[in-house]
Amino acid sequence: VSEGVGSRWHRGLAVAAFALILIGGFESHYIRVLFSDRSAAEEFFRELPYRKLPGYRQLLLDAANLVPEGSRVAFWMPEARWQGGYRYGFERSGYFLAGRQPVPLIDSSDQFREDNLGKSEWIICWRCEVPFPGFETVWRGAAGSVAKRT
Amino acid sequence: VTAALLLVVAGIAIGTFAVRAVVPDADRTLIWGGAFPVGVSIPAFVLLAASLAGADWSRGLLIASFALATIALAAAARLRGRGASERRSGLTASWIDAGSLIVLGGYAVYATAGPMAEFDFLAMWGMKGKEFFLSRGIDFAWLAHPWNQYTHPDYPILLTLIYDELALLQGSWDDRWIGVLFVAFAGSVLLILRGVLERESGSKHLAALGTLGLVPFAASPYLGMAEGPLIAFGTSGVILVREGLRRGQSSLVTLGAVFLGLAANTKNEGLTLCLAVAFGLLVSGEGRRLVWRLWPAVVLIAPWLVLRSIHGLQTDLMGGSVLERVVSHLREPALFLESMSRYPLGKPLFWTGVAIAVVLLLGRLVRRDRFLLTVLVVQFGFFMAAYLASPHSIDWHFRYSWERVLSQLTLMLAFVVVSNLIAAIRGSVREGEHIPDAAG
Repeated sequence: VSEGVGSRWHRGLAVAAFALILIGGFESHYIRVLFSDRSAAEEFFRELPYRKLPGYRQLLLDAANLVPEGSRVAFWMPEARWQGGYRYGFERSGYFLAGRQPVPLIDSSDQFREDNLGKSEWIICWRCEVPFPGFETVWRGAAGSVAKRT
Repeated sequence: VTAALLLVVAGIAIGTFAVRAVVPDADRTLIWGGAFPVGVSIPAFVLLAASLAGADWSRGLLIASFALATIALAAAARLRGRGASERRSGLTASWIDAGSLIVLGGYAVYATAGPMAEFDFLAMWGMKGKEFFLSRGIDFAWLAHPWNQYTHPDYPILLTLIYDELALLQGSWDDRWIGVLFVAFAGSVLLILRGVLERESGSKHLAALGTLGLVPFAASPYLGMAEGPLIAFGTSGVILVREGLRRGQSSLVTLGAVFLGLAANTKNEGLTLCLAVAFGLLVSGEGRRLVWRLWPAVVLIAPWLVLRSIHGLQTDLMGGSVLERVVSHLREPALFLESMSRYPLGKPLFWTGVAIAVVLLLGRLVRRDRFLLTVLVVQFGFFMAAYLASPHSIDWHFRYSWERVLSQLTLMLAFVVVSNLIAAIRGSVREGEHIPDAAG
């Protein structure tokens, strides 16, 4: 006597459960992607992390060419609020600016950090010109500008 | 892509010797399935040691570590292999395996479609890897800096060090082909599971069909994040301990512990998985005498825990008053249920199948797989505890991590259900009968 499920009824349910797991778990995307346009997918993935701040990725790439390694570089944007886009931009800036130290100018309570501004040597401004005294804009592009402490 | 493929091949080369050194009579699926995850991790520990010794990382250091590790492990495997059976069993291919290969091929296309795009890669795993690569070592001062808290400096660093292996091989940081590593991790764990299913069921076709159902759960869509490697390390570790327990082969438990130690070095959930496995062994009768065999996991994670403590790299879960947050969250149990229903896991047919299987086979599962069930339940409990202790809102957690965190357990759960369903369908395993050891 097999332990199995003891009866045809139970075995039928086991087959049904097995089928549900196979069919329900199947990821059709991994088949569809075989016939997809790879160059379009590459472009999509490249811009995906920055889609809420259009042009930001290119701005960071341009800034990385200007800002020397070891520098402290802040990020700024119009009407900056932590959960209103500032955090999004700040936490994505470090990857392209690796080797430099990103400095937050807004904290999670939306307080402007004057002390951090004082420690910043460079500022990347998304869709704006640096509004703080003591900095000079050294580069302008379609998505913003880069300023250096004078 | 050449460097990524080279890293995979080099990892497999070292790993085959490493697996054979621990389990001299390992079958072919275990050797080939276990090789990459173990092999690619060994040079990462060399990079960690080099950093602690103050030596700068270089391509030469990486290649030397690969070469020396291969020679040492080959010698160890040869020494340990004396007297072991020369004939190694392995799986028999079924035409259904072609289906798994096609889906895995699709995953490979997806994983290599473009650069890494997940936020957690850009802000944590990749960020740290790139910073370390540019510093030619682990920069603990950078990790401890308050401005870098968003990178989660307390997270274990094995994955970032594996990324650094790739960068060192390439000679520059480029995340374009990191997806290749994720395909290798998925393929590795699937090969191990395929071997276990065939050994248990005695049917290559059912084992292949079961594996086909497991592919999507091994092929993590969260590219660049720790889930893919964690699923591979954690599931392999738990299944190997289960195999050791069922076959009375302690070397399999030891190898499982190595995988679990690597899981603990990948993500904090890997650490709790080690505790869940220890607990699972304690409640599994004969498993009690095997708990000490988990020592490799302790040895592997100890350095990071010490370093984390020395450099004060604390997790945000432990900041402030943990008890206060737990109590506060416990006062709102409805919020848990609301959030769960607001952010469903998807794949309703799959979960229906799992639910039917669990109800249908509950007695069998408890008898045959008490260990694995305990691991799943305890690890799930750890997830819930983390949510309760979190400084973030419950809703925030469910929205941003629920599906992803549970994906760490889904492959394990699907495996145990599929394994028992196959046994039930075949009716081939009699009550109380030991699973035949095809390798013996």
